Amino acid sequence: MRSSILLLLVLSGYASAHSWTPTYPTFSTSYIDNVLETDMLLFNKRTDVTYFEVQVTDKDFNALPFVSSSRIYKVDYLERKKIKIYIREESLQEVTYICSKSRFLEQVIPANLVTSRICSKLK
Amino acid sequence: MFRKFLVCAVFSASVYAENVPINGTVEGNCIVVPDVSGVYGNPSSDKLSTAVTDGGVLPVVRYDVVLADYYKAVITTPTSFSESPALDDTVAWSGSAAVSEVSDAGMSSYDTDKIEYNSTTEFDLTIAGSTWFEMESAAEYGYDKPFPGGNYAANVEANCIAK
Amino acid sequence: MGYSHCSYSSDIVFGQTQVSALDWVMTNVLPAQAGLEVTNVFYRYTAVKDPATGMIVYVQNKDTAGSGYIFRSVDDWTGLPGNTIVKSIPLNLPLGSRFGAGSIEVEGDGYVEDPTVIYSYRFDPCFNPQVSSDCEGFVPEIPDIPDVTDPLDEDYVQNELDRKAVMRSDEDEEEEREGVIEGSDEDLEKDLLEQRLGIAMDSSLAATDNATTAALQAMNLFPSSYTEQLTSPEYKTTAVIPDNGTLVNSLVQQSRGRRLNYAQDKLHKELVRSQFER
Repeated sequence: MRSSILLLLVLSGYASAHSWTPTYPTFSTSYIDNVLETDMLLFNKRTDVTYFEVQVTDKDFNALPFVSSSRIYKVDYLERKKIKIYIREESLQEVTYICSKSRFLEQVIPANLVTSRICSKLK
Repeated sequence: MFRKFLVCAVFSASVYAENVPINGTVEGNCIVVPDVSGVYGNPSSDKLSTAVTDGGVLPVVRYDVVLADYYKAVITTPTSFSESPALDDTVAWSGSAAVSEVSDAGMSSYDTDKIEYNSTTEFDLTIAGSTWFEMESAAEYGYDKPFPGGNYAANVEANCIAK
Repeated sequence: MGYSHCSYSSDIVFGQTQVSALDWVMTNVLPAQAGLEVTNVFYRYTAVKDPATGMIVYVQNKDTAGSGYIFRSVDDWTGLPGNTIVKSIPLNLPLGSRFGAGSIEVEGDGYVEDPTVIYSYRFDPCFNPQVSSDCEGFVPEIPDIPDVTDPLDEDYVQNELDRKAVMRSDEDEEEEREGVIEGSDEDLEKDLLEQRLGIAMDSSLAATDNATTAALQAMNLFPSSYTEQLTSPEYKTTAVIPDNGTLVNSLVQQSRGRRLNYAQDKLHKELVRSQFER
């Protein structure tokens, strides 16, 4: 006799999304030598998600070192946040994607089964 | 004389207007919207599945792209449980993604041109508009081994990658 | 088949109405409101076809003001696999009255399943201010009052009424004066005078009538029965109660009854006389 398996069922029915722009960011010199910076804009339209992780990857989506004010940002519903990304000048050739990914708190059971990630690409 | 000057000054001040510009740009933008949360059906003791025939609900995610040919949708179906009771055996995962609904007839070719590898499906978003993708996911426990009771959850990863 | 719902802002009413058919008539879809504008058309259907074949689907509404279409959306499925399409098309606020019969038309090989078309609209309930007194610009209707002439306002009518009033007041005064004077010689003389005048009038009238009658008789216009004397039988009383004096003898003279009779007789005479006395 096995206990019943709880099946998660939540029909969202409403539009929940986040956007990550610009699509093709460009790095420029910063006030620090050999460090480049770029600005990204995160807009959260998801009511069920408030934390987003920023990632900088190569073309195979392997993580690369970068600096920003935080790795995980708290962006409330309908809030826009400008995020400044700093990388080393020598990493510019490797950097291909700058991504934002929705994250859930451990103690919060995900309301749905979809994690969204949007990646901008350096040209 | 002074009164006339004052009247003129007041009149000229009342018709003074400032042009306030409004700027904007249309740039490539991709929005991923989880539309329908999936539900695992339990057609047999050793299987969890989102297929409708197995009593499940297919998760649906919508991609909105502003400019054509700027992004590709990369959808990865679950390969592990994000939440589950302790499992002492292997779980065999299978999954796929397909176009469910489109806002442009031309988008129905995404299914024809999609690329599948491992548990990942890539769709080239060549047309601006909205596209709905539904995912199938199934997990089988061991060899005809029943799943232990408890809560099970798994995540679909929906990526929108700039081309 | 149809579904509709509305929402209200301060002045404008917004609403949506849904159709789930391949052919429909707009009179049963959009509300019959003056000034109604269609803001958006949303539709959804599933195209079922062979990917290799050609198929074009038209979602359209005929234009009631012309021979073309007020709304038409084309989906070309040629060379593509069938799928479910969802489209939302904002419009430039055409009037709802211009939306004629709607249809989802398929050209080529294939068919359409589960169609749904949703029209979003808006209208101003006070588009015609006369609809309700709460509307701005409402002008209460003033009925046309016809010119009514009061006959009493006419001068000649009023003059006649005044004359009659004066005549009546004179007659009333006259009667009052006559009521004060009782049994006067003037009164007697007046009666005699009236009597004589009446006799004179009667005589003159009778003479006129007699002359007229003679003329008519000469013309034989009257039938003979008109002048003949009709014999009237006399019905004599046959029932007689013989009296041998017993009935009279049985009567006893009562002085009391005699007094009562005389009193009644006297009162009667007094009453009759009082009518002629003024």
